[in-house]
Amino acid sequence: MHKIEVFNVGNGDSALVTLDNGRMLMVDFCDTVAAEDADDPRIHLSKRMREILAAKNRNDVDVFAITHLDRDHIAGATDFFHLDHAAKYQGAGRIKIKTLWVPAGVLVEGDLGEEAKIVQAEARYRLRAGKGIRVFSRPEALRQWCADNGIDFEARRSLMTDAGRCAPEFSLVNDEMEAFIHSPLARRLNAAGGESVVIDRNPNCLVFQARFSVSGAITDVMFTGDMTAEGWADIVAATKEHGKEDRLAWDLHAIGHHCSYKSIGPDKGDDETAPTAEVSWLFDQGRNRGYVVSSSEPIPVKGSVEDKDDQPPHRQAAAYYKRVASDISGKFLVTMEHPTHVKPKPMIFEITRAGVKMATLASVSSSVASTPVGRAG
Amino acid sequence: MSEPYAEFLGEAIALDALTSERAQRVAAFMQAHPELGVQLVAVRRNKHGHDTLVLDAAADIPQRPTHPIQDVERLAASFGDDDQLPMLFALRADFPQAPHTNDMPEGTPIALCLYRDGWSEVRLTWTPGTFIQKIRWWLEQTAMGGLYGEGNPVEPLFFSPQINIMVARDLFEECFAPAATPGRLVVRGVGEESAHVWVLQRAGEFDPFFKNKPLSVTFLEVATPVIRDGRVRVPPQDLSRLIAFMSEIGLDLASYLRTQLRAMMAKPETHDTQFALLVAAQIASDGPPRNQLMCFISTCSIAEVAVALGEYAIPDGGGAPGFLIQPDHSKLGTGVDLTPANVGLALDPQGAAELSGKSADTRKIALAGGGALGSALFDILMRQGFGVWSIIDKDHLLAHNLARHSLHRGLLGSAKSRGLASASGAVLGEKHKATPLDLDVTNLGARESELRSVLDDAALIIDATASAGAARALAADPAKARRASIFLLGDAHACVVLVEDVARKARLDDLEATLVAAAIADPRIAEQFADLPTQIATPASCRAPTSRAPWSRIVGLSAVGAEFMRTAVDREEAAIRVFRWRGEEGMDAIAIPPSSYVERALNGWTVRLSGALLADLRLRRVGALPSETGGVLIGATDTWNRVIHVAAHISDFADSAGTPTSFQRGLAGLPHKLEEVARHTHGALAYIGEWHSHPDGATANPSSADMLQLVGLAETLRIDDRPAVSLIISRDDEAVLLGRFESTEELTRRAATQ
Repeated sequence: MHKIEVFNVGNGDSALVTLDNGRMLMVDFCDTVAAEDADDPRIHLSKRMREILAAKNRNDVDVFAITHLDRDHIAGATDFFHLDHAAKYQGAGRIKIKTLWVPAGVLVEGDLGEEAKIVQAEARYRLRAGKGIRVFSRPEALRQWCADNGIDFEARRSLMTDAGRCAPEFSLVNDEMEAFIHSPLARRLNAAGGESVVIDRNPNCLVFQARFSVSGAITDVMFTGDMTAEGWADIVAATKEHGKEDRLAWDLHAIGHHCSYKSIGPDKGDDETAPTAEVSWLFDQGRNRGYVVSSSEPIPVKGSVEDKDDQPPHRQAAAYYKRVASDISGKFLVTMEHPTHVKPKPMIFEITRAGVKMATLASVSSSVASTPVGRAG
Repeated sequence: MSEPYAEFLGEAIALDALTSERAQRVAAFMQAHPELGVQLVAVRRNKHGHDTLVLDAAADIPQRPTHPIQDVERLAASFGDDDQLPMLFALRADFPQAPHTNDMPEGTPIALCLYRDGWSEVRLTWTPGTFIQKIRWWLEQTAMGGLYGEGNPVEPLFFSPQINIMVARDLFEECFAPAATPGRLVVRGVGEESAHVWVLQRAGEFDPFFKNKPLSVTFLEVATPVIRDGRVRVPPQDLSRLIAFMSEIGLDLASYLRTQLRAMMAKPETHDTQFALLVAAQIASDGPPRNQLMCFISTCSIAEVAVALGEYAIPDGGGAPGFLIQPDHSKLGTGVDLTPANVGLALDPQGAAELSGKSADTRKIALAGGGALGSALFDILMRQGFGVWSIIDKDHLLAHNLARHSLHRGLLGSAKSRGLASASGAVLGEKHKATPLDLDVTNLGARESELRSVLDDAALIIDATASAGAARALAADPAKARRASIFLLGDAHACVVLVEDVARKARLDDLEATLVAAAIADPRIAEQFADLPTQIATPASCRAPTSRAPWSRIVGLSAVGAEFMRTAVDREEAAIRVFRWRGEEGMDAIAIPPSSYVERALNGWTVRLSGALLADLRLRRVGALPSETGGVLIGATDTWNRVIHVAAHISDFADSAGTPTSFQRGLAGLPHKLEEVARHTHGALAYIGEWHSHPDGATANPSSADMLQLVGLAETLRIDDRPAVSLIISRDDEAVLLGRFESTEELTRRAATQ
């Protein structure tokens, strides 16, 4: 059975896909919890990930996908993962990455934070080495960067996948899963200016549809990073242009940007954000009893301090998503509200021949097998 | 809006008024563990006094459920007697009729079948926590379609009624044939009434075991359309309900019955017979539909049913029912009671084979020997539906036999063959009874023709006589059938199975010679022969006809022997197995490679030469070239049947001397080696002569020196009055010479016959 764990990391993103054949895809990594802070309702991600991997007898993941370089998508990753480019990011207990997935911007962006710089160095190192990396899209800026740094761009074409194609790391035949890439779109990156290293991250983040096929039954899961409404307009247009509308169908939609209205439309609205035509179309592609998942803090109550804050989650955006879910008899779920505000837990979705199924109750044996018992004296 | 099933749920009671300990524990557990998603909604006590918890159970229902289970279902858990499983009911009026739900009487909600086992098993691991989780599991699995997956047997259409009716296969096939002709049958109860075992037979059919007075019924047969919902229903107990149910699943039973009854009523003799309806319910499964076969028997007569269906009417003044020109089709069988019963096949060889996981096999088998081993073997193979048997045994069952025999004291003094035959009839039915033959294969007298026809007709002859003489006679019998033999060694510490090849190149006596020869080099086998209570003189006599052995070892060894024999007779090649009883370690098997034999007839004697032995000697001949080589022959001499088996040789003497034209066999170590042969084979094999090779270019014809040597050998063996064998191996041939001193009388007699 394929499993997707969406971790309660506050306003951030972290999800782990574990395929029936044992292969693992981690999508973003956000670990900002101090180890000693037991009152923090957010999960101590690196600790939990180590437990999960230990139970599987593993010290690596098959793919670590970074949707973009914002802190809430990479925080703590450079402490958790083994990085090939420098010895100081190596050593016992670090988790190896077989293939690192990055949108092209990760390689060429300037003006980065400290941790983003380390991630960029790792991506550059892997591209130079010609292995262990997949870059999404091939903008001019990347070609230029390769030329400037004496890297044969053409020789690394096999490490690059354009939007509109599936990443070769997974296949329906071998894994019952494939990842269809929607973003970044090269034409959008190029439009930003040939050599520009100032890239608007959110609309150029990695977006993909993970398609599962179990006994022939298709289930589609959207991973959307911090995609914006403008970005969606381009994606929807490009997808329709190629007649691949089914690639935007979804049974589980991990919505963008922690329930920000900006992923839906230009105006927050009073009670409900109005979607752009493209976003509206996108959310019409949800299948019956599908799930809309917001990886965010709890949705603020109207009039509360949080409600007045500019930062997501936005109550008005949530209202829109709730309506989307309700229209398909589905569910709108928030990571920091599940199962309760007080004590959120990672959401576990199973992908079955009957579609998405939540696993809210762990059996004793599965709990014992995946979490350490207390120390014995 | 009134609460669904309010009457069924009964009166509201306070939580602390619960009397069932299990109900109290479940209620407390639900309240302490809201995270399980199952919430207590109400507490009731139904009219039977059963504590009932009404609960809302949330489960992880998948996005696209196979059966429309909702994310939260309202259920009722009812706790009846302490020795009963708690019952679980779905209170939603349109709860799906999914697999593993049970149709309940009107006014009762659908019951969910949570457990496969009964309370006596379930209670061993039952806790409120596992109960709550099981409820969630059931809802999730049903939604996933998982409870109806591979490995789960298809649910029957109806709950199994108490009564089981047995029908013989041929009658069964006749009754359930498409468009079966209605007919008269008899039904009778057998055994203890409380067991509800009935037998359906043709009128007048005889079975010595079924003696109760029969009821006369006239049956009709219908097959349902294929039913897919996986629900189990309470079988209707009157005709109107059965008609209503059949109509729900798309079968117009009333019209069918009316047509049939009209035809039956034309025959006055059926009027007073009881009405019976055979129903073949077809249930969808992963493969072809499965059948549940049911019989509904009424106490009403055919005529009464015809009236209840409005085809006939009793005249106003009473009397015999009359045909209605305008039938009253508003009448739908009200008042016609039905007793539902399961219909199953009476056991027969085919059914026995299926139950044994074997394919049915109707080859004709002649079994010689119905003693301890023979009766056990027969009992085992017959109960697998293997073979159509004739049993040959002249002995009668005596009191001491009963400690080690499958028959019982009711048959004391009967021929064992007849006892076993009737035992097989008692298991498989009279029609499949074995044929008994109470005669002795070694002493036929006037009854030879009886045996002849049985052996000539058989496809397989099994020797279980525990008698060397009988085995020999069977081995040499002119019948064409392949043969197999099974015998015990010593005090039943081992069992030997010999199976001839299809072409009979390795006969039973050859296989015995090979077996005994194997003991020379294999101490495991030698050890078994050493267990013999008496000295043996021929290879066929390594048996212990009377010994102190328990039935356990005899049955255990015959069971592995029978299984092996069954497998081996389906292969073409010969086989030899020794199964050893290893006490607490169970049993093990030693496989001995069988050898084919070639036969030479010489002066009224038959010499049978092991093919494996010849091959070995040929290799030795080539290895010694250009010189001659040779050695001692080991074998068995049956002076009664005048058969010599040449089974082994001893050839590596340090002091043998071969030249291209001569061979002088050495002596070094021979006495010790012969002693070993005698000891390991328990005297079954002994020195029988010499072999030597001739070089390339020479024939196998004996030289004058060879003839002289033969005379010397014959002289040596004269004291035993056995012939000496001389075997000469050349490149392309071998010569077998027999040397024996004959008495004057013999010479005279032979001269007269020639």
